[in-house]
Amino acid sequence: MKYIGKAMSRVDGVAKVTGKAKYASEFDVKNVAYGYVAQSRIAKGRIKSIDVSEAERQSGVVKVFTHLNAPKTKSSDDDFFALQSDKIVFSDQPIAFVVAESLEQARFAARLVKAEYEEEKPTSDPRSAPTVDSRSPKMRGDAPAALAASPVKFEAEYTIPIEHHNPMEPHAGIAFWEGEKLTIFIKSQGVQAFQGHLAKCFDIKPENVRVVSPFVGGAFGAALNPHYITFLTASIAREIKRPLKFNYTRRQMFTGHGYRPYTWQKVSIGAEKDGKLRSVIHEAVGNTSTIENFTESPNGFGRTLYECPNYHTPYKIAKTDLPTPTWMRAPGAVTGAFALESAIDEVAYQLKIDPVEFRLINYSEKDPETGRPFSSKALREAFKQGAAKFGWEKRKLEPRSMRDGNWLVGWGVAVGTWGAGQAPATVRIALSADGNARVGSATADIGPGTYTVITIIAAEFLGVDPAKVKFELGDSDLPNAPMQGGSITTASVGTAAQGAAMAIKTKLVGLAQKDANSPLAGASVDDVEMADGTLSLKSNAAKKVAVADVMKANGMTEIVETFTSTPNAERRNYRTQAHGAQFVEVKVDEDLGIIKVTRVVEATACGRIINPKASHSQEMGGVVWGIGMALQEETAVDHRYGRMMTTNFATYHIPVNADVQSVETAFVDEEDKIVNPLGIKGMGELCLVGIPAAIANAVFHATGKRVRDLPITLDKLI
Amino acid sequence: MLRFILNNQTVETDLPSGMTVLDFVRYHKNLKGTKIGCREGDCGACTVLVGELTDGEVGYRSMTSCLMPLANAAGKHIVTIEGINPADGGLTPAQTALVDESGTQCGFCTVGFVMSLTGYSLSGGERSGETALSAIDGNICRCTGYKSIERAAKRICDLQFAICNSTISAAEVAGSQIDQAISTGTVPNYFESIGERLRMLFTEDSNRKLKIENRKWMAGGTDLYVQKHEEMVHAGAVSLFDDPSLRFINETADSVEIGPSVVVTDLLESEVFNRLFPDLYRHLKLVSSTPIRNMATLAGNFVNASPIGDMTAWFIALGARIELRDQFSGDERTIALADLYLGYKTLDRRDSEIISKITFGKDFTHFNFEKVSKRTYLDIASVNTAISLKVSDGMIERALVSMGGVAPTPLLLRKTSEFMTGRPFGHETFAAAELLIQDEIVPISDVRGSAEYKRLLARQLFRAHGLAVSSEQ
Repeated sequence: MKYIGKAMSRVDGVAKVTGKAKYASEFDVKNVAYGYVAQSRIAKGRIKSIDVSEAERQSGVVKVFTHLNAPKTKSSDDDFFALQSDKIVFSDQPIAFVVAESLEQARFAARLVKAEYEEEKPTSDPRSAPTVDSRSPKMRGDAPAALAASPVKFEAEYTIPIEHHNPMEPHAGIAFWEGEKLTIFIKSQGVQAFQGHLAKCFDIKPENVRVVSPFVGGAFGAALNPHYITFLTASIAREIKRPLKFNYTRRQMFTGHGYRPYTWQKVSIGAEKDGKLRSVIHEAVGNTSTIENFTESPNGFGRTLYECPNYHTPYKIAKTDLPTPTWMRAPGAVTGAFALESAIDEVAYQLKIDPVEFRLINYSEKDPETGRPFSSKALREAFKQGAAKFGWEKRKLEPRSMRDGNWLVGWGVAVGTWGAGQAPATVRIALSADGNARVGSATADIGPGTYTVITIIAAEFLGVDPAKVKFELGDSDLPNAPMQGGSITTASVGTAAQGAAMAIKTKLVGLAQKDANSPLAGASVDDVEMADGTLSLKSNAAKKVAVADVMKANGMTEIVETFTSTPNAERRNYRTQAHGAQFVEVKVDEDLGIIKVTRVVEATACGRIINPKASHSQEMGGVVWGIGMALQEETAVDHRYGRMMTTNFATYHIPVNADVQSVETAFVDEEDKIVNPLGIKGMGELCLVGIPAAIANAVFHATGKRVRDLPITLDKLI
Repeated sequence: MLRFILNNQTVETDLPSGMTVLDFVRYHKNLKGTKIGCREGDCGACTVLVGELTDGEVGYRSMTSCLMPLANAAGKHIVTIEGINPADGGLTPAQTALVDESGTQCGFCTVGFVMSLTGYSLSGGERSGETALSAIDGNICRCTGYKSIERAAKRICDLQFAICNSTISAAEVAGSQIDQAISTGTVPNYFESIGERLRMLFTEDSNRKLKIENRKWMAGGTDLYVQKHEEMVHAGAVSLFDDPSLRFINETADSVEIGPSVVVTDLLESEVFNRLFPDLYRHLKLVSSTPIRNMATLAGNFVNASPIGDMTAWFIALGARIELRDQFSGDERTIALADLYLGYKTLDRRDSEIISKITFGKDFTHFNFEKVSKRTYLDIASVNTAISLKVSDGMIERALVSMGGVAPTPLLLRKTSEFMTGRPFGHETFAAAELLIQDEIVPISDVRGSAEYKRLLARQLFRAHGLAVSSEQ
């Protein structure tokens, strides 16, 4: 391969370092008005009365909308929509939308909206909220009986607080109508999902809605759903008959788009004395809101990872008077991994077995759920390479056995896994006679490097320099693509890009062969190489024809092909997962409990790497997410009022540069011919999955203290 | 009418002087390269460079434009990304390094990093891998994991000074900072003329006098704009930030006098402070971030009266005294800084009074500052504490111990300090004093830790003082 697998700088890098990349609220739209959300003081009850007169009197205020005069949605989906009724179901719920000539004026006036409430006592603590059973996979074997019969037993509970995505760019957008046609620039991980949502809300045809989002300043799941602000902005733009812009503040980012739910988990493990797992019962309760049932799969995480004949994963959700959670990077998996990979570590200590060895004893060679083989699984190799890089063999088994002056040193390990998914996707390529290619698909690039990776794949199979490829995304008018979530983008859109490029080649070979004297006469497409503007025989490079000449001969200036890729049927006979082994060193100040993650080695087996430069960066970002989750991130809720308290960067901590010391990422060779033609598995979530558990395990190794409630703060260690 | 230079253009504006520079550049000048990430000075996405004439030279510092009122831009050079993008469509070294090293992912924080790294290239001080990283300590990235950005930062060091691994004072490098930055393409040529243009602005504006009919004052804005952003815009507060009579560090035979508008970075760059406090860099690195240290004034920290103000704890332990000047009557009075605090956010200060001078004695022999926070850097302390000792002939002649985060106000631990005074300088005195601390503090449980944990921190940090000052000998 000429470009695939080679490090390439991001094609959108220049736009980003010069500040010229246009994020959603930065499009120049004339006569734009600004909207600002006024929010509820109470978490539960109803609005008795609302007075907007003072707000409306302020200079620059165009109009104030409340549930009394705001447009209503025509969608029957159970999404939360703002200003639909007097009912309050979470604190900071929108009660008014102030439209003014400037953002400043709108923000100022929003503070003057006065509401009186009929207040009810909220239940925001999931521990005391009513729960409902959620769907969980069928129990494997008889887990309770096997647990009871196991010679080694273990049981512990783990909690993870609410966490917020906090992308650097707060949600923002601009909506305007031209007759019956709506255009909205908005932060989005899936422009066509937003398009469908808006079409339903207004009961109009999707082709009358255009959603544009070429640059997204991070999202991590926060912009998968349209949330209430999308319809609110679009519908009020129609009411005021002018373009309308909104920008969330950082504080509004805590109630405007969902969060990783609070989770309580209990892991019960039964094992043989030699470490062989007999039974795992992994229970989980996550919180949701009273209006929507948000579910993820926290406890399903280990079902394919370990060879264990009896496995049970009951899952419930607790209905709290909080906003609805949503998917946040590695949803479910990182949550489940924290509990299970901590518990596995605990059992390994109980049996005095090295935690890597313990995992290898229980290594699943095929999918324990179905008995099907893995399409590929180089986890053993990841352990081997990671351990060697880390120097794991020098580890002493006993906790508190390693030290660096006043610092206790701990080494921990954990495993991550994430499904190697793929969804149908379409890519259109227009190849010009001059060798330039325009490539388009309605996918997103929220930061991982999708612009670049699709450019590389298209260039590879068109045989042109990547500099001649221009890839467009983030516009619902482009060919269909799935949302950017679940680490499926490269596998989905990349496969379609490959297919479209191959289709162009097939077309060109066919056109060339229309000429009876063609040097390619009689050759099959596979016999032909397309590179640098030339079609030639693989067996005899001298037999060639210029692409430009073929087009000219056929009276064409460009060839356009659209290709839709779908997951291949053979995948169904396999389990398709990506894996990683994560090794962590922490140092803990014995006197103060200060924790530093001094070293991380992450070895990842996720199929083919298209752009190592971007991939390493993506992996490191995931590691730092894991550090944040393990040690810092927590949205504290004041349960007296059902209010989120730590709603800014001063109190909701995410890691800063100085928190991050040595991080090494490595990709283990893993060839997979099943998942998709290029063998791509995805990595954006995987890189985070095992890190919090690995850190918790390292902290235990350093201090002898097992912290089962995240984040692991200093006070929990003393 | 406010006047300043924005990139290559002199601007005059009648907009409220309390409007932030961020809103001005984005909404009034349509310069959208400067991003809004938090509006609280925590993320650095809105970082701009601020050039100011000092001693005839233009010096640049990075500041978060979200907390900077236009009033504090007057007479200065404000530089956004649009002001450093090369006219030929090329890239500056910082921009090239970030692209090459994969230091940009979603790109939203990126411009802030470019500005901080550019500020680093323009500023004086030591050049080392460590200082290059310090320059970006106020910028948060949520995508990259920082390693790629670190590589870019180190490349900037290498590229411009080729001395990343050895620490060499920038003064040893030939040419002025700005000439050199122009020659490396770090900033455009027009930077050459900024000094002269600022001098002209300055002369024209030298008649500007502080209006004192208003009783609202502000300085760096780093607390006020977090707490009451909307109100500040139209508050008409008079800025004391740039009053040269309030910005000085003078050393006398037995004391140091400091102007209230001195910012934390001024201390870091002060010869006097570096001499008196050998651990200055290590200690002040724990205080906020580079852009905030470039804006946050000492008096602002004092009057904000946060129970955990870092500089407050520092100066209380030095026994600092503050001069309060009534802006109407001109009356002056001097009190101990520790006596300024009457209760939670309640001060012994009239509305018409400003802090006009801070003084502390030089006769201490030992000083130490400790701080523990959930996140090591860029965080508010759970507990902070400082100690100064005057030791002679093995006896403690005077001890002053301060502590923050353990009461409604910043505390001078009077009993502990008195107890230590007159006792031998040694482990036994520290061990006995440690017990007194617990009676003097009344911590509460909050997001920064439980009351119990803070009590424990108080003990452990005091022990750390003991270790630090004994190793100084």
